[in-house]
Amino acid sequence: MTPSGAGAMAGRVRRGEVSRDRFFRKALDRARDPESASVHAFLSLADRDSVAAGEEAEAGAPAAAPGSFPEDGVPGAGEDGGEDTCSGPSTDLLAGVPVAVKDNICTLALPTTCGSRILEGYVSPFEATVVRRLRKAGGLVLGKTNMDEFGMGSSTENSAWGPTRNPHDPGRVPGGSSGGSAAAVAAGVVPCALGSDTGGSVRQPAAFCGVVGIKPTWGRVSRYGLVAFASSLDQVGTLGRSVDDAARLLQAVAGHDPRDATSSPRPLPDLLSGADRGVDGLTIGIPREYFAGELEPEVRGCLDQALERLRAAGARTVEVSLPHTQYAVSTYYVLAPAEASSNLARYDGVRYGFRPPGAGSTRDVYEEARSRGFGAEVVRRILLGTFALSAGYHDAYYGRAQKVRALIARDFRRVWDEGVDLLFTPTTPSPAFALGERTGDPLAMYLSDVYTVTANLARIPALSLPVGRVDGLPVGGQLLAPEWEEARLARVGRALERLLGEDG
Amino acid sequence: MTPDEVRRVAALARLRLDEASLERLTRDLNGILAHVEKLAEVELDGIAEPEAVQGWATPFREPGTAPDPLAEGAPADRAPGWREGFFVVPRLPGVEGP
Repeated sequence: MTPSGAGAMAGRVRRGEVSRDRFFRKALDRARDPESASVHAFLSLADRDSVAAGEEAEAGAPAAAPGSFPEDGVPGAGEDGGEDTCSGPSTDLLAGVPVAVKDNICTLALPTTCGSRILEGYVSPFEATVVRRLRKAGGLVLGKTNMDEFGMGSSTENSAWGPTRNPHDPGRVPGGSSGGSAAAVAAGVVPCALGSDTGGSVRQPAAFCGVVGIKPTWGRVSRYGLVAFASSLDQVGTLGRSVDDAARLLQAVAGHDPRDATSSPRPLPDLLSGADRGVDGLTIGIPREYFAGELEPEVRGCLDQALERLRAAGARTVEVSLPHTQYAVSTYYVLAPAEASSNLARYDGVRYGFRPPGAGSTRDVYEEARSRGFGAEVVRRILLGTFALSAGYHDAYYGRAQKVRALIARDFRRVWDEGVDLLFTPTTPSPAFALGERTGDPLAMYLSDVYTVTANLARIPALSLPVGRVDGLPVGGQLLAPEWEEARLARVGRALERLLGEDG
Repeated sequence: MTPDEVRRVAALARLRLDEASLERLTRDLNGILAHVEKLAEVELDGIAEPEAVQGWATPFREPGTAPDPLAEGAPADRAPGWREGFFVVPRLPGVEGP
């Protein structure tokens, strides 16, 4: 299949030039050919003979029972017209487009394992809001993608089902935890995919795989049906071949959901228009803390070239400081494991998932299921989190980390108040590392998240896009915007993509 | 953390660790905690209520509006066992019943 964008595909389907299942079938063939299969991006694939697993689900899903929520319509529909509302019918946005879905997002027909043995074979009885919305927009779920177990990892090596390989170099990781989704897009199987981002898990694999990744503002996208890892940090994010692909999928799935009380009632802006507005007059902040220390010089070189292009196109760049950046990884690795230890307490072997045979007592069931079902990284984080919340340590660790989080968020607000429109940083300090290179040292793995965790801690939206190559490996640049400014991210992302594309 | 503390935390988290894992995890956790100690040096500017500083109020749901996945998910069709409004799971050891 000649790689083409989701917008182009949807257009051809809407105009009747191709059948609705055309791109889906081609994507399935591509997913199954030996070259893509060796990437191991997918854990499960939809049935070939259904137009999509989604259609079976559509047929099988009962009408909303009385007293339950009315089927929500098109995101933004029914609201007063105005600049902020989505223009055009979302129902056609993804017509016939095959979409990959990370395996921690609940789907009806395909299993949801979160990359963990403890959920092996689990098929969710309900569908995530983001999946329901992508289907309402005409999209077709191609399959579920591989991931680090429960979202814990930066390489997809923590999957119970084996790693995914980077399509650019099979000896290297695709990043994580949404490595399967990033690889599925990079391998040309699908133009866009859903992932989740708690500390960088959409943006970092996007950078490693040379695709675009967007983490929206916390609360912009419903988490109903996203298996919880760290609830105050988790967001569903989108990946795509281009900024338009990732933004299109985000447009289709984002917006208030009565099923998720933490989702914002703010109207969803139009993420797809304004494509031709440039960067003239924009003020772009360069935070000095992101351009120091561990950043590899060649990666820095790619970022510098991108900045030159932005300046030549009329953007003003200004150096800024985010002084609490050095505490971000520590803050994250207290808060995220603490929340995870609570969220993962439900995996007890009793109601779903792995039930250990021959256990002598209920306590044995809990301990056997968890100890045998969880991988090493999950165990490590649960222990860390439980410790940080335990009596005598709670204030020193969890309580303190909450306060540092507030300071990190304040650093960003001060920069926006100084008149900065966006920030531009590297997404990662280095390109994709080799499989096995960091599995022996958890801390080394954690430190690769240094540029991405701040956006989750501050709850602001962020976008990663390819800005060059180092030794043939993709390098990502990251745009950070104030809360709720996804439209600005998409616009500037598109502009930068165009400027870099002019290289030839 | 000492190995005993790790064992205690593991018990809280309903995890069972063999001796080899206990040793390895004690090492790993202490390595991570050493890095996390950095947080102790942060000047907290007297922040008492972090949520207030961040402006993030916990959203509350209107009473009676909680989503009910079972109302939409047709559990009778999808669960391995379903009876009288309950999911049926394999009996737990030591639990008596009909």
